[in-house]
Amino acid sequence: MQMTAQGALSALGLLVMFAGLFWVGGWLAVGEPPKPFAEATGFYLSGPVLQSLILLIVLAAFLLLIRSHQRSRVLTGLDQAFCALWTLGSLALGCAALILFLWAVARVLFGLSDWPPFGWPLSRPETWWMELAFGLFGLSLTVAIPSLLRRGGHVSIDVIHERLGQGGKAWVARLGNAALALPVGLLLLTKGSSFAARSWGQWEASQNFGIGFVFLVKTLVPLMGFLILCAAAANLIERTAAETGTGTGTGEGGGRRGR
Amino acid sequence: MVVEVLVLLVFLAAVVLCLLSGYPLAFGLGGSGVVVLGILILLSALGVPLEGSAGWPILEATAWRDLSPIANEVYGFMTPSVQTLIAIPLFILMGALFQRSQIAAQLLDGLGTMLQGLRGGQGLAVVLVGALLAASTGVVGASVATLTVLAYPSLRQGGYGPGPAAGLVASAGTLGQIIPPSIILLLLADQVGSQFQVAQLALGDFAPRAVTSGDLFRAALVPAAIVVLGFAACAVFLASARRTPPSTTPSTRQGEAASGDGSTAQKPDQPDRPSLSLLLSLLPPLSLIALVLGSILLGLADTSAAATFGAAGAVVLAARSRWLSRTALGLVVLLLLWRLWDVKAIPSQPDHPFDPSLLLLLPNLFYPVVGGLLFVGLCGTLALAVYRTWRQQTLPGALDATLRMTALIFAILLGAALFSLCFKAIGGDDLLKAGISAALTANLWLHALVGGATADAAQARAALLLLLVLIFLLGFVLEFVEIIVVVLPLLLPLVFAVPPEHLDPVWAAILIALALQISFLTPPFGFALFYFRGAAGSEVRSLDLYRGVWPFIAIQVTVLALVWLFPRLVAGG
Repeated sequence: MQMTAQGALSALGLLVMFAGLFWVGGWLAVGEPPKPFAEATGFYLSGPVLQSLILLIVLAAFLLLIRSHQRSRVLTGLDQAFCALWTLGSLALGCAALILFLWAVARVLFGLSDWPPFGWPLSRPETWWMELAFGLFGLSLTVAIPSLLRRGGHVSIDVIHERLGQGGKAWVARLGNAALALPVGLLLLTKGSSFAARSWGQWEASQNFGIGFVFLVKTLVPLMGFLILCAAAANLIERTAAETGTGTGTGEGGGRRGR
Repeated sequence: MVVEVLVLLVFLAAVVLCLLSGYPLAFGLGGSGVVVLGILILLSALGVPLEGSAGWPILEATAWRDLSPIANEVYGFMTPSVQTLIAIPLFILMGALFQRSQIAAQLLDGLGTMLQGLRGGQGLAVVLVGALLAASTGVVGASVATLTVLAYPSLRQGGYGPGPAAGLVASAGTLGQIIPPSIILLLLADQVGSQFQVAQLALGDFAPRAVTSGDLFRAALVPAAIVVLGFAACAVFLASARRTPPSTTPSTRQGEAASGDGSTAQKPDQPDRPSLSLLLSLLPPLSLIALVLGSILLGLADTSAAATFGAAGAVVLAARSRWLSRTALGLVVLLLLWRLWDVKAIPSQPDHPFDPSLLLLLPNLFYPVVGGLLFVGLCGTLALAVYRTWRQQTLPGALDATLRMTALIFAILLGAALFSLCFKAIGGDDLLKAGISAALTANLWLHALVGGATADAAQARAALLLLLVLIFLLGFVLEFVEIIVVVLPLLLPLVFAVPPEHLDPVWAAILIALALQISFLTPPFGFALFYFRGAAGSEVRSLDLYRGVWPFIAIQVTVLALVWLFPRLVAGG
């Protein structure tokens, strides 16, 4: 997978959309929230509910109102964005491995708890490096799991699937994306938004001299949910486009036949 | 009670249906749980009576909040509390580099040449390389695919029948599940360790023993060695039974030619007899494997640190540059010597014959300057190796493969975490535990069969036996990751409901690992069989493959029985 300028821009666009949704889910609410241990009175919509409503309305409008050639363009943009994100994930994984190697050498061979040694410029404690590596590893997972869903790279059980006809397989893909992947993405986005917003609220930093941007690492949870939503939606759009004969996407929308 | 059981059955049926539908497992597992839970909450909100035996509602309208911990669990994959899990991508990277840089092929070639002239020599080479690849990667898919492409055609040409050859290759590839550092053992250490600690805290032991991946690696050595010996004996027996002539050709060159791998056509011819240069060419990968395993087993480095050394070493070897390899080796040796010869300690030893710090007249700087120079040299060597492998496209390809495999595993972990939360939200865990406890209490003959110092110990051993049988059966349809992260958390609390002196958690973990290894080979859904079919294509019939693996399954079952009967085979058992 190659990262292109177009792909980087598309990925940036996805991140901006996520930022908007994250703000809605984490901070926005309509009405007066109910008091603890009391019956709800009046109208109230929490951030995650608003977030879900916006997403569902956007997806429904997209599937029902947008013309086929525009869908194809969006699909191409999404695929380019996922390609760029995959490259980013691959690099993040490589960086995490490199950091872990430096940390292991410093600790196992040199017995250092800071690297470079304490007193040198840019010296950081062991915990900082470890948490940075875990953050990069988390970033690679965040982008790789949804990208693999889009590319049809996840493992699946083939016992019944291989006996299905083309129509049956199309229904499995359609139902799977709509009823299995979308709910998982939505759940991660809504639950993760509240989880990460609490962290942002206090600019959460690590204890024990670790990284100072834990709130950013925690934001990877709703981001993963958002990207899963995008991948499942892209698979659905592609399926719809294929049925109307206008499909141009490159994803497979299913699973890698593992067993 | 009827409603509770009915709800649980509907829930499990929906999950099984989603898994078998052919949609990606990770999302089938998590998504089906979320959807069924959502429907139940909706029914409950609409006034449908979903009450349990005591008149309590099975679900509250706020049950949705029970899923809130999922955000924390996903975040948990990214935090240092799960250092064992970070070793998984590093070992995968090491294996991917070995595979892409033809080091695995070189190993098979070299061992095939060394064992030529011996009846069953090719089969022995396949088993030995399977064991070495296992020790370096711990990934079944990589080992089976590599061995299939490299060795299967030459085994066929060497006189092995299609069944025995297929069985031998597929079985040798599964050695990665029991030989350290295996991914199974890493995941088991995480699950068994946490479940054991929770169970012991519940028993009132507030300082329970920690079960680490290093413990499991050490404990798996003897059972793994028995399995390897059994496989090797089986390879020789199969060759003798078919009157296969002693192998006269190196293993892989024919195989690669037959598999159409054009990359090997440029390889220089190697002598027909083992030469010193051939032996020397095997040394670097073997040394790296020994270094990784040795540092873990001797306690010099933890699993994640050893994994980083392995991955870095694999990058240097994959650069295919002798002077880079030699420089790296020299620097590592010097660094180890420097580490052992702690100059800081010399002034405290008045009888020391020579104080090297006098040479520099800067005694306080001698130690760090030399160490720093060695470290800079090592980093420079690694940077050069990274540059070369990047230009050769070996490293980007290996990183790509690593990311794909890691994402697969962690997606299933995520799905399993979601499934587990949904299962608990409907009270499934309590029901399952109550059911199994009742079954175990009722079947006293099972207690008598498994033995045990006390009634509790007998019950725990019976639960362990039940778990092993369940793993064997589930292995027909589920993957090892799902079995470890979905099934084990449900049953391990029953197994560990006794103090460790009655049931050693490490011994239990090794038995589970052996049962999981068997599940990889059991037809028709053994994972290794699918990898083999995927790599071999249509030239092998399923029936031949199924017939070919049975002797190896019998060996694995025998080793499992031996470890059950003689716990001392497990270090610390």
